Amino acid sequence: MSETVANNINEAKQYIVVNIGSERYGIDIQYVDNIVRMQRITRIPKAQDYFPGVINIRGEIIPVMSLRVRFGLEPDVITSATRILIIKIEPQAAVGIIVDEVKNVVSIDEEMIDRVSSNTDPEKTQYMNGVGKHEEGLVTLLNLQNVIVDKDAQDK
Amino acid sequence: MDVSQYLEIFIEETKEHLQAMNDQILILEKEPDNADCINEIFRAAHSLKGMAGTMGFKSMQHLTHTMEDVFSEVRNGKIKVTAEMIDILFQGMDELQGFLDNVINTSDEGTPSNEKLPDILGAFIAAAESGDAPAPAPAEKKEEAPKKGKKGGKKAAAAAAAEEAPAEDTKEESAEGQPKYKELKLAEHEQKAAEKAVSEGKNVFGATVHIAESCVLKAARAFLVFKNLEPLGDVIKSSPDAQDIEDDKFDFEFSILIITSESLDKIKEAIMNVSEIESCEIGEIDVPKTEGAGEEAEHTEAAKENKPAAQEAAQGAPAKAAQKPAAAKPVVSRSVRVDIEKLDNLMNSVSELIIAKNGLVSISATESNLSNQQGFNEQMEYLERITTELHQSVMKVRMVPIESVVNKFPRMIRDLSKKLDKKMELYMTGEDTELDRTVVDEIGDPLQHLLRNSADHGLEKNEDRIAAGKEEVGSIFLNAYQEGNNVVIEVRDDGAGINFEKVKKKAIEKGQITEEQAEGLSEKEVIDLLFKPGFSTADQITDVSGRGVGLDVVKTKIEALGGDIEAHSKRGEGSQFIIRLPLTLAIIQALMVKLGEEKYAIPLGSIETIEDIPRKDIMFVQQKEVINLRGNVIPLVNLDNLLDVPKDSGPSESVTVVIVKKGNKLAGLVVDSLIGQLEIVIKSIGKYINNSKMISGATILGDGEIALILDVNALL
Repeated sequence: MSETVANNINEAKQYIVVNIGSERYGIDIQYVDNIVRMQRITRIPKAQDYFPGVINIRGEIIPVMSLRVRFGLEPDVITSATRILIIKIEPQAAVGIIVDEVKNVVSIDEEMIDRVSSNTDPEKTQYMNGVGKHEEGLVTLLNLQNVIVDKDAQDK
Repeated sequence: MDVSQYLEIFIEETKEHLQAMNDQILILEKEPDNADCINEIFRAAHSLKGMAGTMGFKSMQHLTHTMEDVFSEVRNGKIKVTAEMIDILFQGMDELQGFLDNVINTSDEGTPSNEKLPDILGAFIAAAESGDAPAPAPAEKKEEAPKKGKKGGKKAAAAAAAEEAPAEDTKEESAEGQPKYKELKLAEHEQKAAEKAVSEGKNVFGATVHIAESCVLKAARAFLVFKNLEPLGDVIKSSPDAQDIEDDKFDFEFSILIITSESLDKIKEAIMNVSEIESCEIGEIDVPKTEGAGEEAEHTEAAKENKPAAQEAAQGAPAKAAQKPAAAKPVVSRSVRVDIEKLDNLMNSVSELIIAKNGLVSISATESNLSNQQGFNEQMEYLERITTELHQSVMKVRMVPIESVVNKFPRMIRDLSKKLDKKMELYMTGEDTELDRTVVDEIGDPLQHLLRNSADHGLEKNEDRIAAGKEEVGSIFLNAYQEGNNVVIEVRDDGAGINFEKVKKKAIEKGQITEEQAEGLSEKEVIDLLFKPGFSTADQITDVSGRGVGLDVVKTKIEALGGDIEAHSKRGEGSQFIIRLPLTLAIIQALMVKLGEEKYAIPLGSIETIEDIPRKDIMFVQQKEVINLRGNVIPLVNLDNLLDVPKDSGPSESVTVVIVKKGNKLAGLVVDSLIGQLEIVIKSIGKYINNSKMISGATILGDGEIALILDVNALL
């Protein structure tokens, strides 16, 4: 009995489930630094279109990314449920991502994740790590590295 | 406790001494008879020897010792300075630098890379003794070695004789009055301890220790004295007290009282075993029953024979000090030497800041509203003044002269001159120009690169220079000066200049441009090619340069520091590289402007003037808007369009133009309105946003709003 509990702790990861458009996405909780309400975004000229600008979080300037634009969906509609998740995939480099709504936190066992098969279209799957199943349904698990880092910009 | 706590001081001071020796040897090379110079080197070598000895760095000590010997002979006129000797000395300097680098990285001196150096140096002395010209060392080295050893001993004796003179003085001085230790007054508990010791049959000795005035690390010496005494007994009192001694707050002598069961001689030996201790007066203290009686106490005065310190140094006493730290890790934290005055200013500002804060607290505590507002405003102004002062003080603390970086260049140019077989001279000005420490640390390599370029590619060969009707000796100039909020460093040579045709040809060969493109290139565009990665015009790859990792790296580095570099060249007359660096990094004065609803900051350092221009005065040249301002035709940059600012208002009667400057280029930035001047803290906008460099950062305004900082250099 105690052994199965230990297994669960070892293999299950916690994800924050968010709504973007009609889809649900899971974000690995270990990269989430903070969740803040929508606030005034300062536009950065000539930035990539999915970066609406920067925000000020307690004296730190943090770029904010629109996942909707990044995924080719229609632009964000700001509501009272809109949140910005502050993500840190590496120290000293935080990024905010705008989501329509933060639902809850779920634990998803490693076994319950379907990895994306390699023969699917990389254009569509580069931002996902897999699909996780839990009691309430399916969530797409984001590959934050690919979402945040602009490959084209890095190559330059 | 061990000597490692002195390691940092040791490293700093060794650096200074090495630099001094390098400089002086360079002078010596030109003026072999300059006595001041020889003395200076001798002193530096002597101090280095002593310091290395204390720290237990034996190879270093050995080498400096031999160098010192050579200079001692030179000073006495026994040997003449020769070119060969200078070369060997420079090798010695490199070796010492190597030791120092090892010490910095591992806190151990490492192994000598050229063990023969001391012997070769010794050969000079030996040659002087036998009256011969300096022999080519390696051949005779073996037979010279023992001779040298003998000579070394002799030298030590000579040095000892030299040092005896000051020792004599102090003896006389202290003979007049009583030795200082007798003036020590015992506090009650010390008195008790002493009485107890006497009742237990132990001895109470007093000693006054004189440290040689040439000693650089006197605190370290004193510390070693204490350390040597530790196993022998308890030091119950010292004057000045132990903390002051450790902090170097004493003049070459200190007194102690020690309770011990050892004999007087043993204590004395322990003290004298420390090198650079000139003399010590030691005697038994009769512990008086009452405090006042101490002065009349009888004692045995055994301390009158002074042992010269140099002899002690030769006995290897320092080995005792050589407790090596267990872990070999880099030991140096990056430090800045700060003028105490600067720190005082800082402290004052901080005090005022606290007062201002208290003022605000008291205002918020009082009720009345009307007078509140006024008092509040006054306090705000006060606060503003203090923060500005504070900022300036902190900046000043961080500023160091570029001297520390450029000092090594004369030596480098000398070596290059020999290596390349070109005659050249380096002229430097503005070494005292101050820059932020971080910038100074980083600027060395790029400058070195530019100087090497000048020496290798810039200057022609001797015979070519004569053929071209120039002076045979090529000149390289390194000038530094402050210009507004920037520091400018120029590297200039009077060599052949950049061969534009050759650059074009190379670029075509490398496929960076096509032949048609090459035709149309302006001189400036050709120069820009030089800063492209992988570009080198040197026909041959030499040790010095030509590997194609070059100016692009220099440029990248300087841009990373927030500066820029430009080059000018005239065929046959030379070339010039101009580096501009910002004085400060984190906080700047900026003009806040409004574009539509957005706020932007323009660094004040790049602003020339602000003009109100009626729209009818805007003219068009080649479809570009320009204005004629007091005879200057200045192109206009419409920030609205450039930055895609959403606009709703139509064109107005007149426009506000901020005239900015980059190098000698002017441009007018058209803005909607001005907000005012503000001191802003620069923050990065992160690496993920790709903004074509027009935005150099962002800052947070008082109300939490973000304003972007425009990079004027990228806009023009």
